[in-house]
Amino acid sequence: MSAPAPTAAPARRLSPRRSAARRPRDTDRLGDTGAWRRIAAVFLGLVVVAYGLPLFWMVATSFKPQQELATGSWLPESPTGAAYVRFFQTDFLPALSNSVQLSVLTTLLTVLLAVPAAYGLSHTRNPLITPALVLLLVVQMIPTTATIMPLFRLLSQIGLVGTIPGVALAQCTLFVPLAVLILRPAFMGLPPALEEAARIDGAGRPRYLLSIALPLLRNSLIVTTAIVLISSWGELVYPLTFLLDQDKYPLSVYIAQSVGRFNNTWNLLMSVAVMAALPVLLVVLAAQRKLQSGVTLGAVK
Amino acid sequence: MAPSVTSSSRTAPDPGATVHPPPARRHRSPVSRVLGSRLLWAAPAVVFLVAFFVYPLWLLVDTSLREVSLGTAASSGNPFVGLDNYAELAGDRDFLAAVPRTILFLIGTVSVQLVVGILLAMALSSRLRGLTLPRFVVYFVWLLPPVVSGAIWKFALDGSEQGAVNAALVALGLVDQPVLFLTTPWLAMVLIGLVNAWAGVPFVAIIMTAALKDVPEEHYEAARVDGASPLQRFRHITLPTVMPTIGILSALLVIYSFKAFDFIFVLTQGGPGTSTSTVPFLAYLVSFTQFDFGQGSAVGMVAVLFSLLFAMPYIVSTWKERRS
Repeated sequence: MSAPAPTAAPARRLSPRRSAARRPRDTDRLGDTGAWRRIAAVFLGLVVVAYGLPLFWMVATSFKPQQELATGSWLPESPTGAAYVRFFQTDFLPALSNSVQLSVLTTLLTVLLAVPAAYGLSHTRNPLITPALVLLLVVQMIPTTATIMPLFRLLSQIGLVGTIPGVALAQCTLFVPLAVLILRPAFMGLPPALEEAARIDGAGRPRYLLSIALPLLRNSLIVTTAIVLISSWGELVYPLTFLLDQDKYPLSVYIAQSVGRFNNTWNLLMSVAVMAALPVLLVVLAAQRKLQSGVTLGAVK
Repeated sequence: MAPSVTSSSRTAPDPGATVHPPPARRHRSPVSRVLGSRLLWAAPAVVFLVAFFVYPLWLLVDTSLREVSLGTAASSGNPFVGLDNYAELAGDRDFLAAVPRTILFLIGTVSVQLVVGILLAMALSSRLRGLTLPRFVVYFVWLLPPVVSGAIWKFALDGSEQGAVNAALVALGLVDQPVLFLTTPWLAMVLIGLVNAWAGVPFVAIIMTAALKDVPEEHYEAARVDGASPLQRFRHITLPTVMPTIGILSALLVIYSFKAFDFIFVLTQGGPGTSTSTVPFLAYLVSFTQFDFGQGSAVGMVAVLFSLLFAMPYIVSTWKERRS
């Protein structure tokens, strides 16, 4: 997984996002002259093309009929949903269901482990904290290809190789550190007096966590869940190597395996890619603002 | 597990207790006292990571010192061969070619990501109108599964006229024959680096946009009054403020790009041969296509050591910051 992953050092910045509106009008961080603005505008245009064009190719190709694939034109002359129909009739539903099971299970396990850990590692002066945080950082940095083989052995020892729960456990090693490092600064942002007050009122730690802290931190929790859900949705290495049975392949593995296999059916492959990208589209449409605060809170100081 | 501050203070004489009925927590059993310790809440996650990460790392060390093949992979009593697997690496042409290739790949892909990402962040922090679309694209591509972006580029760079890039090049008359983008080793490696950068730029842009917001507006005002040019303002105000972020970001980008698996797998599978494999990808190939698990684990160990080396500045700075 290379895309998401804000690895985090303990973040100091907890201040809410400063609104852009506070800046004086008509000034510009880059420079306020017309020439600089024009350069910036052209650059942005290039960036939108560099990212929009490939995404456009993906969608356009997925609507091409079979016989148009060899022509190499960018737009389908007679657009058709045949690729989608064919896919729904054959492989799509099992792969989709596997993807959903795998990413939901991974996310649940991750949140269950990471929320208490983030709480436990906040507001305490225990000397064990530093090694624990460093462990979290190191885990995120080791290449996954190095641990595939030993994890495979471990999973076969406990009889989970080739199963979706087994892959979910393996994926959690990637996402638990990530989630703790995003959530811990959020817990640090709660005033210690709040917990003190709750304690005086007779609320124990579980009660404080569930009915006071987590409701206050729901935005961070939503962002963390969304990032973990989307990342595990696209995760490739572990399902590719630990699932031995084609019936269990999630969409990510299906795509990766198909790229080599169907040579002339790019319309089919691109329709799968579109389907795998849809949840990402929904999450970004729903929570772009929140994602920004989440990633900057958790990521680089 | 150290007792928490709260549980020990509870046992001290409490003047309020004579007035109010003592809270039930006062006579807690040893079990609930341990449960009350705050750090203990991190124990499940730590135990999980030790079992599913530290222990496998130990297995990796162990396997790299043994002769393990496909038939004997499941058993533990494989012959111990000491450092033979590592010694073999020193004479292995695939491995020796992969090391400089990995370093060049990292330098190239990380510098592109930093330069384009920072410029993009600056453009996104400007007061231009119509930033909604670029912002949306940045977030979308940041979260797009690498296997999806990989598949798009695999299609776009296809070595026949079916590929979108070749179709355009041929239609424009720039080339007579479609370019074999992904089967020409050096070209394929450059393109893997660029695709990795394409997918990584949004992360840089998001982090840097946030960092740019921390530059105090007054400084710009003062500089403007003093007649500083935009370039001077960038060099003397923006850059010093965001430099720490750029430092950490560079370390992270090196680490993430080093880990890159999905793009290589989808675009070239590390081939032709191993000509587009980085060191971590070679560890995968040796173990899972040549089924030489001992040798593969040795390559994996080299990859782990490299990643620790790359991570060292980042870890040390975190450690120091915690200690201070």
